[in-house]
Amino acid sequence: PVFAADGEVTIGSQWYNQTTREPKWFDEYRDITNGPMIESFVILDKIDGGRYSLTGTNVLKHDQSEALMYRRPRFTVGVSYKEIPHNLSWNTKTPYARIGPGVYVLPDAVQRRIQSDSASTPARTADLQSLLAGARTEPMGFRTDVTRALLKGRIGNGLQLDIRGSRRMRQGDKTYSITLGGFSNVVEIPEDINQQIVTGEAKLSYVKRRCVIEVSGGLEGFINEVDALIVDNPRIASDSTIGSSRGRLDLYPDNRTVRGALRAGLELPHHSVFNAYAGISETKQDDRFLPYTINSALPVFALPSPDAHAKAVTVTQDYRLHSSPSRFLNTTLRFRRSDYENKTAFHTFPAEILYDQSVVVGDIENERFEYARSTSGVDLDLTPVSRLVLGGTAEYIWRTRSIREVTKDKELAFEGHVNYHPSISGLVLEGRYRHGDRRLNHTPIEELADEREQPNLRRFDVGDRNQDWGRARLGFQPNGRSDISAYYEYIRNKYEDQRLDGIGAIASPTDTIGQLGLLDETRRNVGANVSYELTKQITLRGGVGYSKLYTNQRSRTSPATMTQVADSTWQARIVDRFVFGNAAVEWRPKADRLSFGATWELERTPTSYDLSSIGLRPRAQDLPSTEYRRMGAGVEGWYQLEKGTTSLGLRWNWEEFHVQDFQASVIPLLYPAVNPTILFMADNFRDYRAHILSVMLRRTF
Amino acid sequence: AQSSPPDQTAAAHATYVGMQACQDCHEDQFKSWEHNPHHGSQIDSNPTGKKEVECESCHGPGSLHVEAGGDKDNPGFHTIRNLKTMKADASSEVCATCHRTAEQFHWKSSTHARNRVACVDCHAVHSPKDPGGQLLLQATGTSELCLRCHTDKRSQVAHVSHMPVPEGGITCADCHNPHGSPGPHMIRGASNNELCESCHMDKRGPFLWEHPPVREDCLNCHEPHGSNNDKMLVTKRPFLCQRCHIATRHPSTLYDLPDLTASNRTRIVDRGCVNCHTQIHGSNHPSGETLLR
Repeated sequence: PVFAADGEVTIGSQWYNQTTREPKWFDEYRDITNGPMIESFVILDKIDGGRYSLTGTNVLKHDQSEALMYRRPRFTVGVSYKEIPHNLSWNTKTPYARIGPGVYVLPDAVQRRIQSDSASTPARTADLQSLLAGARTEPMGFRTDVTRALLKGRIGNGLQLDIRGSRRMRQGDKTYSITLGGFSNVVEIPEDINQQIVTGEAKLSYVKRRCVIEVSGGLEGFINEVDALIVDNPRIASDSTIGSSRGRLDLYPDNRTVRGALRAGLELPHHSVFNAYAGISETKQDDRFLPYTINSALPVFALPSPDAHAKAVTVTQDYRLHSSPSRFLNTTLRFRRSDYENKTAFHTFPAEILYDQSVVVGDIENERFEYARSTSGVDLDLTPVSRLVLGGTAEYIWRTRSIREVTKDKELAFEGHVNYHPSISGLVLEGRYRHGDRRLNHTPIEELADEREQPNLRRFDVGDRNQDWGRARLGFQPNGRSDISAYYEYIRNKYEDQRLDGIGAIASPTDTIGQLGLLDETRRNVGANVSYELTKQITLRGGVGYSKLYTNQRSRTSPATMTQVADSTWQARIVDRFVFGNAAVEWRPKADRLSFGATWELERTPTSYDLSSIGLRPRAQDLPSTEYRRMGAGVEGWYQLEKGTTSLGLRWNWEEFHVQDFQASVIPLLYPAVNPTILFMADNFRDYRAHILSVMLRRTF
Repeated sequence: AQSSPPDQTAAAHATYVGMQACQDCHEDQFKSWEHNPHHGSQIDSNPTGKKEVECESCHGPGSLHVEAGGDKDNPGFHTIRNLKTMKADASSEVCATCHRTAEQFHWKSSTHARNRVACVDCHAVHSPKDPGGQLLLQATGTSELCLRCHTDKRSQVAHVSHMPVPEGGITCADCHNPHGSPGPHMIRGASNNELCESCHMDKRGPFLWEHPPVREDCLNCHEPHGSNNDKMLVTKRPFLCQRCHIATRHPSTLYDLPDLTASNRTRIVDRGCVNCHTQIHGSNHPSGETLLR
């Protein structure tokens, strides 16, 4: 036969209906269209002494993926392509016109009219409203197209070569914003996205009896085709010393990385193995500096250098000695260190121009931020009896960093776990607990004062922390027909500096040393999943999950002059909850002929914001609770027209989405109504209900 | 699945007989073998002494098993290796005969190996369920496979703000190497940032003006498995920013309900602080010290 390959293809057509065009959840990462579709295909065949596989999904859509793999006895070649859409909004609006990459303009006449009205707030507001009345809808979203290629083979006795390359194109736009005058003039505009990431890596491995050595090297590059975002100021038509007719924002600069790594593995006596990894990478960034401002009326300052001469070197080492001297004992000794060394040149700038408007004269020098993290640990697993595993880990982590208030901290952590398989068939019980105690090793007050921060602020990522983490899991397969699993997880991070007031309720009004910053956070996750084969024809599945994340943070309002009085202290207790449920049934009334499936799922994410304060705003009012809720259901049936070759399928999906979020569902185009300060794009999330009906034909060959 | 190891004493006397001897009884395995990635592969460490991978490359010498002729009472029958019934480390050791480099280099010291997960717990060599069977998976997709055990992550990736894992845009294995890695949590990078920046290379910098917690760990602000907040942030802005910034003036101001109807709304709705401090990941602009440009 002309075509003798094995495989399967599913084609069909799809119709959808959505009450409100809203990408969130429904097609945020999918391309849902009306019309024909090639849902999936697999082709397997031999060619020229080798075998190939060609697979793909959603071929006619913009979330498609295809992969071709060709295998010969000693080498494999593969290429793949995937499109990943990220649809952000279908209803955003902007009065700006794009006249070039990253350049957005308003009609000059409008700018001039609004400028002439600047003395009259009502007139200016009316003009802005008039401008926005003509704003056009501009959907926001981008797509990432990923192409990958690989070649790997056994090129000699014990020698293996693995070469991989990828190209990642990202194009589209998303909402961005720029301030053109502090808080009083902010505009939201599209960010033009046209970026490319190219990578290549080669690995050469040598395997000889008890020894493995691997050398690898690679190149990576990021290219941003849009260097800057240039936006007309809606209120000012001509540059002056008190305002700019345009704003210019520097978008992410190009960068490139060279990396290399060496891995070695050695099998030792007593069932032991030693693995070593050392990797180094150097990233450079030398995009040319933009001028200080686009405002032609402001003084011109010389740049100290045409570019940042930015360079960072990352060195990573990882050593592990793993040993199983007996069947009762497994141990691992390990050490890992990662250094991020910033070698960017120092530059002294004679001035800074804030939002293309305010000139701040004075030497301003950039700083180098760099850090290192080291982890040493020992893992020990004991199997005293065949059904019981007892394990423990001791870990010591120490970190260093520059220019932050805490330059060094260290953490000692202990973990224990038990894995028990009782004599009851199919039952597995697991428990795990970890306690870590992180301490900083010097008082950061001086550095915080330099930043004009409150001296009793403790930043959570570098401050003292007590961490408790526990997890329990149960698995039960009493017979071949049922499977039950359940889990519970608890994490508590307590960021308590013992030298300051403890974590708890609001500090008393006279207390000026109560700790500020994130005080504590607690996460609880619990869930269960069940699968049960009711009969040979019917299988039931279901699951539930619940999680709760509580965070408690405290801050202190302070005017331009630092005040440390507690009566301006406020506290936010935020609780994120998540409820998850799903159920499915599979029914095969006639084996190999007729099958049905039905699914249902619910995701609900309510969050509450409990705010309290003393002194400054005694009547601190809670923010409105937010909630996102999605419910979906689906039914699918397949009828086999021709045994083993041709099937006809019908699928119906339903989805309902509800959103209530002060931050994302009620964004106006112009805000506030009186003396407006910001032009939004109204990137609102909206409720919807959707149906998708698909009819499919599957052919196996 | 950790019982009935092969009878090692008897197995020591078994010899290699070639795969044709297996076909008579194991016809089903041969049907799927045709398109199996192992089929026709030539390896240097083949214990059979041949170049091509055959049944006995993994299952061990089969002479006594063949001679037993299906009689399970015959000790020779049990001299063949059945990877599904072997102890996890022993069965994985069989796979590691060939798979010792690149992806599998750190297997023995990986979290999965330590927790007695065997290769065959995830891979189905003879009856893969992934389309085309090139990954030899026990499930139709990589993420589906991972979420069978990591059930807590199944609910986390279903949060309103999530990576495109449920939609198939990426898989768990794009970020994690289930076979082990030199990084934490078996990630495909030496650090969290190195991993994230492999796709989000625009955030890599180095920038003239850095935001130190961003440079040190993306996870200070983002929850990569999903969250209730935009951009998978660990909490809503401005509260996220106010965890660390409570200096004088606006960073420390309480933004509560009255601000939703006042001009301060610019600092609380939409992107909060990032409405103005747009370049929160770092800036390369000469006037970008406060990440406004």
